Amino acid sequence: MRIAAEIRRRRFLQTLLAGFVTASGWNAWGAPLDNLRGDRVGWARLKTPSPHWKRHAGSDPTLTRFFRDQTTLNIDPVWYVADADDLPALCQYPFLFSQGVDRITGQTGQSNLAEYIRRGGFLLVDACHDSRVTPDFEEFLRQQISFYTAVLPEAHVVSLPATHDVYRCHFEIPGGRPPHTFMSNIFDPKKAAHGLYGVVLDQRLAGVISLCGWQCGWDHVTEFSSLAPVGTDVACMRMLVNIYIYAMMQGSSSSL
Amino acid sequence: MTQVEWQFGGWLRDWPPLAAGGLFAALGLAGLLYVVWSYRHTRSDWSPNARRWLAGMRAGMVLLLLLCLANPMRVEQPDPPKHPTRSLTVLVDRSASMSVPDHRGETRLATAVRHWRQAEPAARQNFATIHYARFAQDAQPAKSLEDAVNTGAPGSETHLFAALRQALAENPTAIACLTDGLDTSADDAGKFAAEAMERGVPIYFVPGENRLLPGANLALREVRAPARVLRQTEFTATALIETTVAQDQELPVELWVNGKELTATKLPVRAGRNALSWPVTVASGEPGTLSLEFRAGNQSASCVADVVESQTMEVLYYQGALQWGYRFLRGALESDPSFRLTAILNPALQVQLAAAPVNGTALTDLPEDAAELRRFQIVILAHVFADQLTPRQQQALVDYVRGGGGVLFIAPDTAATEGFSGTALEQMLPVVFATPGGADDVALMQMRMQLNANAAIGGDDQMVGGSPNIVLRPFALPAGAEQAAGRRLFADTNGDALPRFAENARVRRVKPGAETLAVSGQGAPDILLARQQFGSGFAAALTTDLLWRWKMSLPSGSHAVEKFWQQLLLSLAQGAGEGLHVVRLTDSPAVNVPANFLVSAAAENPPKLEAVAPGGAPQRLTLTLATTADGPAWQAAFTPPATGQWEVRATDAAGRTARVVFPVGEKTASAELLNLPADLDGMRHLAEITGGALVDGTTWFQPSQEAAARPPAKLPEPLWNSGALLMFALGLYAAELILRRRCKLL
Repeated sequence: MRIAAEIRRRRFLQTLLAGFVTASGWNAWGAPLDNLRGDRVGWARLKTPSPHWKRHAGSDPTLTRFFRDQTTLNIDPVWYVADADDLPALCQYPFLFSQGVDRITGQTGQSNLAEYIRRGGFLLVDACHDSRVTPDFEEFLRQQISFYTAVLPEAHVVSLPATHDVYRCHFEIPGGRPPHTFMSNIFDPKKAAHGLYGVVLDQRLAGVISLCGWQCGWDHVTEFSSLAPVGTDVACMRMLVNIYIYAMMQGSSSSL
Repeated sequence: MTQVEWQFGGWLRDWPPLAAGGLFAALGLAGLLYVVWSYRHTRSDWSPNARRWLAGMRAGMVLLLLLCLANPMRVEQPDPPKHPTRSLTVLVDRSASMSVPDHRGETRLATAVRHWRQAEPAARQNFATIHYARFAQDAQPAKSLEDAVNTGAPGSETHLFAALRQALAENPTAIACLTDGLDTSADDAGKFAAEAMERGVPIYFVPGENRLLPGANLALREVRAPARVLRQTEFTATALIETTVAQDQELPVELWVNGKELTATKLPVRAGRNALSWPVTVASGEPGTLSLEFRAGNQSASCVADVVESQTMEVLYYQGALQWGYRFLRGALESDPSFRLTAILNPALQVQLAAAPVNGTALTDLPEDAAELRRFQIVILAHVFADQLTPRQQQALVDYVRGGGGVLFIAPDTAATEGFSGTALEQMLPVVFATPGGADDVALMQMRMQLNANAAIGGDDQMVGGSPNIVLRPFALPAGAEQAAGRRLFADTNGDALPRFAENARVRRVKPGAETLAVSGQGAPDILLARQQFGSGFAAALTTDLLWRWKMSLPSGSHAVEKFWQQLLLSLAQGAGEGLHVVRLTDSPAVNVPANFLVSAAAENPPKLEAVAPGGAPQRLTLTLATTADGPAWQAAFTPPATGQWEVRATDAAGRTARVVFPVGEKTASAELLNLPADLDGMRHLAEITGGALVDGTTWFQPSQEAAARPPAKLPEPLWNSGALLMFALGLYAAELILRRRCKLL
């Protein structure tokens, strides 16, 4: 059977344009990103025995793109993995993101993490707002503090005041209060009352503990519901950019 | 207009053009016929329009592929010489050195004029107008070459660079200068070279030479050492010597410390005028006072340095890009309370951290005044880009180092360092950066392509177990004698304790006189760390990252990183300013001619200054406050009444003494009349960096811009391997596939 096929001029031009755009995109992929940046650094998540250690990691590139758009940080657009049991892997990254360190119960993982922080690494712990992952935020905070107390006894955990530089070193965080995300977008005043907690070692901020669930924010989990405040994702990413930059550039001990 | 020829590349280049063209025409025709035939006999029934479009695209791709295979090359022929309305300024050196005849009665001026006559026809062909001027102390216009050569008496000094500067101000197309290249004023040749290079006006030199027997002269002009040094450390003391000799030889020099000879060597001296710098590393030893006396020929000069138990090192850190090195550098320095770090981030980074005021003043950006920098012993410039520093900020840094400060420039990015090529900052640093668009850029692009190849975005499982696979490479000590300084810096370290880096910038070369302290250890080594003395201070370049990955790779109990940074900064900081020392300002003191001196001391009150006659009778000199680029100092003058070895001695309130010993002759030995050989090397260098040349009978006067823009004859440039062409072919193919799919052929 013979098939009649008619190609109109408009259709042809559209198709041809699509081909060129595709090819141009491939070509642009290899172009240099930006000349005015520092040395390249990777974004990594801490791999722990917890089954949730990489929850929302698929949206981490959203965050790294935000970094590159809003700052001159030369950060890799991909996310990497740093296994707590592999000290050299941990030490590839000056900044690690974690869902929680309390699940690291092995001696190797614990001593590795302590050594990582003593060498100068920075660890950000951010609790997922999902009640299946973090059933009790107060308990979550206690677990994190207990971990540091046991593993890194020379460090101490302090509540960061609203006047801290971390709330204004790059973006101005309104009121010095970190943005929160909530399960099913139902406001939880008990959770929202928490600010940030800093892990201080030798007069420097070596880590931050957050109950805010920023990762759920930039993964747009909160926007599935119409009740989600507009811009929550950006607010979460701004807070994270501030913490990252503060970790890099923190100055004298007086700012703690 | 550029004339363009085409030729086939690869193996076809050897074929006669007709044969190669015929072959590809035949292949192309065969391909086109096949395409048309294949779309005429399709299995499905297509409209004529569809056949035409698909055949056209397939034919286009076939032709493009054939074009790639043919490897066509673009060959440009240079344009014929132009005769636009360009102007040439001819400067004639009428100083005394140009007018002294040799035993044949030949003057340098006559030689230069004879050479110019040979080149003049070419100049007249290339320049519509030629202006003439003569100069010695001042430049004055002349009506013709004869007028410039014959009018007026020879001048007593040669202000060559001032005359060239004045000529450049008139914006001529080119300058031709008939001279022996000897500037006998105190003008800075390097500074003028930078200015001339920036202006881009080609300077042609017509050298004037004759056979006069050159005289000789020696001046131990100045010695420099830090005012204070830490106990049990090393510091650098430097002697600045000017000498003029008739032929290449060696000059014996010695350094005596507290009355004992520390070291002696022979400095190579080339024929003509030499400005020598002899830096010597001195061990400070225990607290006390060190008297450092340099000796050269029949002259000597001394200064003093205090050895102290401890001192605070004020460090100013300036960062131009967001990166992690600061966190770790700060940690390394603050592990020693004697280091105090003040950090400034480039305002464009939009990072606002509570900054502690320094001496009551909070810095928000790099100062534009060297005086504001003097409170610091070291300034670190980390990851800075050229467009972030204003010319005034760069000049402040240069003045700061010249006055005794230390600058450490850190950049691991070749592209960033290229931006500093030709800047005032580069003039100060110990390395010459590559220029943009050079071979290093190709390597840089390849590296970026490789990095971007990893840049894939995926879901939660993406990159599980992945890592950036960054390999740290170790520093290595350079081969050869110059490694001594590097060994001292990395003293008490073994291979494991040497710094390790992840990235480094490539520089073109290390400057003559600079010390290479570390190189990369693999293949052709890159320069990683180099330093040089600049004025009274030190400038260093570290072409790696800030070594934070090295810190992260070491056990937390290791202090190798802290030790490296602290030792490096200590080696660059030379204490607060210079110690007590005397500088002789008069080149060749003579009887009944006033001689001038400058006294510097890190003190509020002036020291006592005496002139001691050859017989030993002292004469108190009056000091007046003077301001120099290096800070406050005192000036004095006296008129020696007799010939012989005179001494000028400064004594401060603590009884420390610095002095200069020099001969006083019957009459002043003017540099102008020492019959110094023509400075051919200097003229050649200046000509080359501006795009000019030393003129001879074959000189072709073409401005540098045109010469640079004009490709050399027969410059083949492959045309087929462009991204745009390949993209076009790919687009055709993609469109054809999509259309075939729509036509149910796929």
